Amino acid sequence: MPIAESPIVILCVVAYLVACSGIGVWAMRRTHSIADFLVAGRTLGPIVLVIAAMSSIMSGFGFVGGPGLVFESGSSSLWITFSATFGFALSWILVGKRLCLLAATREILTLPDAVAARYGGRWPRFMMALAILLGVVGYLGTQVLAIGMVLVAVLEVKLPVALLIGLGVLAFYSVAGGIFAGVYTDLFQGILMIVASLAVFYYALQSGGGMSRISATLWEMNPEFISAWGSRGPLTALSWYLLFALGNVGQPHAITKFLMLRDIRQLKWGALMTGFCYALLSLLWMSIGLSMRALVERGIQSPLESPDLAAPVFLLNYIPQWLAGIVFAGLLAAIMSTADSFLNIGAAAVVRDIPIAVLGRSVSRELLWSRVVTGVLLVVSAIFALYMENLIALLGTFGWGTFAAAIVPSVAIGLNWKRASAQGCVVSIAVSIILNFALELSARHGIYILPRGMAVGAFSLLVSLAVFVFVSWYTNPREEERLAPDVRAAMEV
Amino acid sequence: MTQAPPGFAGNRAALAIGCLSLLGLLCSLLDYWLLFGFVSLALLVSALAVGFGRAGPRKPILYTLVAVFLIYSALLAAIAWTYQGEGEPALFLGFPVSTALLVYGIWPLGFIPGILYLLIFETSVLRRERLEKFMAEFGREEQDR
Repeated sequence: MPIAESPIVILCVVAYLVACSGIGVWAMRRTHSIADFLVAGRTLGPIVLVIAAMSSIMSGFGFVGGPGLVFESGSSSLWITFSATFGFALSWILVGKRLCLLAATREILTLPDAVAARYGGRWPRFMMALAILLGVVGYLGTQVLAIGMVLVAVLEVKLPVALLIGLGVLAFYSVAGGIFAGVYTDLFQGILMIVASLAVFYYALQSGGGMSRISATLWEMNPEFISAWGSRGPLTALSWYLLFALGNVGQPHAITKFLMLRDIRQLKWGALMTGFCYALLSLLWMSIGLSMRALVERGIQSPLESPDLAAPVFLLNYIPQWLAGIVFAGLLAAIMSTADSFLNIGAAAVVRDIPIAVLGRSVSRELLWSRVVTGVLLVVSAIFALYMENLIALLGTFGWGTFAAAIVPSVAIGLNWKRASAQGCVVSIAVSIILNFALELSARHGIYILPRGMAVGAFSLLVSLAVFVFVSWYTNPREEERLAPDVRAAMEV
Repeated sequence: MTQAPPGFAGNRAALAIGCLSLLGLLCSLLDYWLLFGFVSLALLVSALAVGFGRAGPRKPILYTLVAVFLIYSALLAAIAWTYQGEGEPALFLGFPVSTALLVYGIWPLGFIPGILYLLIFETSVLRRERLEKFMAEFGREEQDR
């Protein structure tokens, strides 16, 4: 990874870390109960909700992996980032109102709480918490590793030291301020990302000589690369579009934010605004990868050791230093905003959801234990990141697809379809976990069960949806009559 | 609580999702990618139908969703049709034509569900009188008072 030697870049990154810590101190003073810690006391306004949801979805994968994917396979990965406009609207339409209404009638602090209210019994809650925990461990590991890599590049320190600094700040504001700190750092981080993205888009086009010139260079290199499907082909592009549009509704770190909204009527602009804000971030995803590849093809830039270096190399060599500083801070922001959301839902799964499912009650002193578990999750993720990189990579790939396949049927469809049953919920979650693991693992060992190009997560999502609908249909035709009156009413408003 | 007006979601839209998922699996296994694309779009629009299910009035929303599906499908077919594997590129606004259809067509089209949600929010998605009735009957804050 290239090393940033500019004091301006270092200054920006340090200033960013200090600002996050400051927000942590402020949030700590506002966190007095478990509801404050997990759902910010249901006090969020519409702008904070929009930016926090967007920041949670745009992780390090988007800021580093996205340009890397474009650099490597051209237009294929644009189908991922372009799906977000549709995906965010789906989130608002399918689950926004339902989750807000449920939270207005009961103490719903987590997604498994909502699932338990909808289906009753312990198994749906347990399976949902398990799926979330498995996804969180993997996703968190990749985010932790990414934080370390960025700080290694900027501060020129060893990975363990970089992890200590980055995770120290993350631990401080997440443990002290819970989700209050999480969403308000998300707000700050999201604005930083948008500014960074717009500026980088301008410089990327300028460095490449304009979009037409970039396209012409890439066409000369390989016409497939810059055509609509990219070099990975149509099945990959289309399955990614499905997985990332519909799967958006199943990302717990984003949809849990609906439980935090102060007033349900403030949902109105969110579907459009979140998609719009994310579209601005997509400009960075698209432009860096295409521009860098054109620069390499023209011999202006030497070949990269890895596609993931496209973004860092571009930032250090083709934009002004002050902007590179802001973008590096934005990059760190993208990673940390996702990580803090995962910490929050992971801690909730351990302290609240699994104990309620297994023992029938939550642990005593939930707030204290949530803070302890948040810290423990960070330490475990750091150990995984340092010593079990292969496992992290597997679980990281597994993350989005598992969340999508496990959560979309039970939450997105289940909260809108009264005949959906607890059996359908439990079986579809179990199938999605097993299938995702089995297919990812076999692909890593060179065994391709699916046609080449089909995204594993998209396949699992389709299986899980079919299982959910048909198991629900055949198991309990009278499910509708078992719904609690408030849940039934929340599904009818 | 007054019974909500029947929507087109309910069992039909959910069953459509189940059937389309099976069809999507079949298309992917047989590598019929274009058909897989159309099925995916139908699945996404069915998911919108489930979400808007009880947001009546039924027909205008249904027609809008059908229109969204048809425009998406036309764009997808156009991308497949204009896809060039070789020769001189025909550029449109900086991109080869098939990529331009993706960037200037598929991408902005994703805003339509969000715009629809915004436009019908007060009249259909969350009608004031129904929300007030719900909150009066079940809202925690109202019951605490």
